[in-house]
Amino acid sequence: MNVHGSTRLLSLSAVLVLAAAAFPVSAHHSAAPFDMSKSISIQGTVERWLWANPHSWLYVRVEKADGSQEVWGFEAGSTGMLARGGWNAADMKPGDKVTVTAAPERTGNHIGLLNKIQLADGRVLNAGFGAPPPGAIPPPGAVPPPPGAANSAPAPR
Amino acid sequence: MIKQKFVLAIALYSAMLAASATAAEPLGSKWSDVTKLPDFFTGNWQSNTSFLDSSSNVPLTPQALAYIAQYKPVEDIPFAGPNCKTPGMPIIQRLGSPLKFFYEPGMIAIYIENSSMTRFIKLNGKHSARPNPTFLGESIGHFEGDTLVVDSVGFDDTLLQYGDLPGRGSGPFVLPPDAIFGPHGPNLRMVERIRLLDPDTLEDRLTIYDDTVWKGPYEANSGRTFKRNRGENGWPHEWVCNAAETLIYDPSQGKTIEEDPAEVLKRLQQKENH
Repeated sequence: MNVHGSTRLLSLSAVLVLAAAAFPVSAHHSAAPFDMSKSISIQGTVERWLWANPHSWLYVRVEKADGSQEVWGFEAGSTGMLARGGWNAADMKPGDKVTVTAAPERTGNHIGLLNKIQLADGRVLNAGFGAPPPGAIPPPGAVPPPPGAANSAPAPR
Repeated sequence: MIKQKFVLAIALYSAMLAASATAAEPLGSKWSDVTKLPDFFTGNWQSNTSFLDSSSNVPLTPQALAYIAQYKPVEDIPFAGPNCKTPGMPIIQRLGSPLKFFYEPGMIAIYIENSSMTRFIKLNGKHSARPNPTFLGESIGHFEGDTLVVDSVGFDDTLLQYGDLPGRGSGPFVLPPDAIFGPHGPNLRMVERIRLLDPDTLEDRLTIYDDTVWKGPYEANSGRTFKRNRGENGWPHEWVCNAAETLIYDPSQGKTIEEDPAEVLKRLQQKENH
């Protein structure tokens, strides 16, 4: 298991925090349970990549240092929005090793709002859920997205 | 002399007929009109303004104030619910997925990707005598220059944002501004003015008329804007609510329950195995 918590307000997180206030990130329930000022990184094995609406979900099994296991659930965007962001239903399959970066749930449940994922083949997909829409007008005081916020490589089609 | 009068009469009659024909066929009546309309149709439109209204100075009715006084902050956004029930107009157009416009003579349709719903706006027509209630309303549109003016009535149980209660929220799902949503009255009417601000920016200015909520016309924000997606990103996608297993909505508590992901995964895998 590799869980790194950080309270440092990363520039990306700052954008997402402001974006959450200004842009809808969820269709039918609120994103408020997630602490957007924090970022966690989790390495694990894909159990299920659910390509669905209103939100896609990624379930990852992580192995802790003591040998026990945990299942984490990461909420991602709607299928259409993910597809526009270069994601694909075939990006992940059970057994893939991935590293997920997410905003954790406030109550400490093993749930996160998926921001970035490094796939088994090394590709990185960004901002699966909280990304502001293309052409969005940044709220006053918003920090510009960090370099490389766009997906590092388009998914093969 | 008689011949001249006859020619003049024919000319006048022709002119009257031509004027009559023009008046009978306002913009949006013919296929060829599509070349005269503002280009709402290329690609799709992604909302880039909040789905919540900013504070308004329009005074609320005593009925609405009484509703706010007894209002209990919600545990989730008020339109959360089982089976992804649509929030309807006006919220549904402002959520995270884009809008796609289509035209045929006498109609503009707007595909709302979020919920896979389509609004059908009848151009240059009249409202029904008794419109049945719907979540998008019965919409009649016409062009005033380059602005599409859409008048909608006949709403089902869609919600209106009465105002905000900053800081009163207590539940984990409460939205940042603690927005108060409440029911609409029987004569709810929405008027939208839709136009291009530039080739890639669409504005939708909405005025709401509901004498059970506001004492006058209520204009929500200064105008919501949408950015155009072109090319591959401008293509509409299907949106079907098919992830009901991942989130359980409890109507008795009025909130969404975040379960242990291990339990959700088990349920998903059991479903796959059957």
